[in-house]
Amino acid sequence: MREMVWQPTLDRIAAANISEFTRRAETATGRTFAAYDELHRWSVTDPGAFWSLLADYFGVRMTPPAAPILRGGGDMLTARWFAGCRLNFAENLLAGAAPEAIALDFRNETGACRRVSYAELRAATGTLAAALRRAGVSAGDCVAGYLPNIVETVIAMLATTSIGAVWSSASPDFGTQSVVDRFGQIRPKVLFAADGYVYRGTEIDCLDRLAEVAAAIPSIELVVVVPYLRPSPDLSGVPRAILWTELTAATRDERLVFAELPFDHPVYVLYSSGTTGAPKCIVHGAGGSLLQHLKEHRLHVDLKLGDRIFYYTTCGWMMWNWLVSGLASGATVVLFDGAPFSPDPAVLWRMAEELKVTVFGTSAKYLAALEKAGLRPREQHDLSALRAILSTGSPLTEASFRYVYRDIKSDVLLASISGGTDIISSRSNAGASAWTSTPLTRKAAP
Amino acid sequence: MDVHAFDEEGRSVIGQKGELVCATPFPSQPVGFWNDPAGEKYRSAYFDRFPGVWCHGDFVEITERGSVIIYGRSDATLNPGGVRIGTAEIYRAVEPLAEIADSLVVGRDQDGDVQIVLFVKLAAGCELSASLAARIRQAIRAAASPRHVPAQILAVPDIPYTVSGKKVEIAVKRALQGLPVTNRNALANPEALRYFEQLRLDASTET
Repeated sequence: MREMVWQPTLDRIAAANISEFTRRAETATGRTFAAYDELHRWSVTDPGAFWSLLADYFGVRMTPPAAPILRGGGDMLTARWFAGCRLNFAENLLAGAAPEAIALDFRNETGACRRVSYAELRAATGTLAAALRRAGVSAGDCVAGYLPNIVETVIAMLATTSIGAVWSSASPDFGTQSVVDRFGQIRPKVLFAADGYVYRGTEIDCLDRLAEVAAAIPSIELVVVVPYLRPSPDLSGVPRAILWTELTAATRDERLVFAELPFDHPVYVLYSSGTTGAPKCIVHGAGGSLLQHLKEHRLHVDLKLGDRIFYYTTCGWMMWNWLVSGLASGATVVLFDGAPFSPDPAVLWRMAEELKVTVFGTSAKYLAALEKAGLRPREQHDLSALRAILSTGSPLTEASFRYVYRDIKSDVLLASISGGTDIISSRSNAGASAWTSTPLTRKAAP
Repeated sequence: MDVHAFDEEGRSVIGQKGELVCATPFPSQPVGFWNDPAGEKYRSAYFDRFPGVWCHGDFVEITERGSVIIYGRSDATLNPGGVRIGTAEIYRAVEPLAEIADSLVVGRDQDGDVQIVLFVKLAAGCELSASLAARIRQAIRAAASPRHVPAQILAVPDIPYTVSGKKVEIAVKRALQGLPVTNRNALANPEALRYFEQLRLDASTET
């Protein structure tokens, strides 16, 4: 049995990015796209025209593409996109907002807060990139992060990719062997790590594991430690280690220079879960990741300049990469480090209220656990800014659909999204329903 | 994204379960795999199942309305009586029950057929009584179908997950069969697997 659980208002549909994009596509093609599936059909029958128009509509900073946008005769194994086109991934993430706008709003479970403007993020990226260049990092080298979901992780990724080096991250809850299984394959030149972190109220020291990782991967020339748990950690046991502040001490007011590189230049290495063998190292390109994330954020999630986007993730999961690309839309990216129920089940909803989060991303497992904990966020928190709740990891249950609309917010787009590491994005994205008012069914995820 | 559900013969089907595929190039396809200069690992990971068509192993249905129902990983699907069932169909019936903290389902090959075995982690203070087992079976029968009803329901202390939060159905199945689980480091809680390795499915814990 089907039942409409939510429908966007006509005003919301009219103001949606995807409505504007559809008009743009109609002008460009001279055709009429009366409904979402007509636009979608065009996007897959003329993908070169579709993705080219998207890049133009989003204002992607890159050298002008030459026709044809898609080469290789439609063969998925030989396809090449935007051949000859050059861009920088980090430049596109840092160009989207006013300098004083908030780029990163960080919280952790102990209550620590940090707010970073776009100007500050650009400056920190420039300083670190100059230090990395001096340390010998150049385009195509790998730089790895064994880091919690903190501000420095984003800075390290942006500095790395501004040079054209390749970023790969693992979360500090990974054991030594898991990290060696991953980073050992890509041979990073520099490893960023934190001295420790707090999870569910427990202090966890990372320095012993860090020493083991650095010893096991000889390609690592430099271990850069963020003092996160303690102000002055003792690094004497970690080979080739220095503090972040030591690395950047000699660099001041460095101008941020972006290496312009081919559209398919590698930007990220992600890993398959590795339950059936050594993790596969999946290499994603700068232009493809950027365009796909822009498409999902702006057309499906309806992300707008100045929105606050949050996803509960670690930097060992591709949703971290997806989240950080929210910068490219000029949004504030909300980072949370810690356990989602610590110190209590309301922790993320207090944060959502205080920071006026507009897009709240989580997992189906979290929403099920929240319902079992008996939490009713709508009764305790002002969630008026919230427009979309995203869920992934596993299919969202019917019970959770009902719970969200009953106990979190009734007027919200709830999207059970599905995708993955292989495509660094989502494939079936219910966010489209912001435009088509597709009913969610009782049976399953839309 | 040119997404379809393909049946066994590679035909695009609507309103039927099949393999999630993408049939037209998209720009966020991986550039390739690291240390795979000839692209062999990349090809075999995504293009072996249907030549020239991307397939990464999700078991789905595309409805007439154009929405997508995800039933689970293709390699974890269960085939009782030859009907493919996605594991998520079982989870969404069982896990809303207050007594169930978590669950995991696998297929057990038996006399040429597949029997469904459901493992449940119980909420604090709950036990797997005959009446709870009956309610679990009833919930699955009502929300899914009689074919989805497990032949066995067993209580376990914990459910193993990958570090990225996915249930490891394949690793559990291998552990139950006495096969080696190759990469325990990928698990967030590898100790949870030990219970399955020691477990004999015909043991007296059956309910």
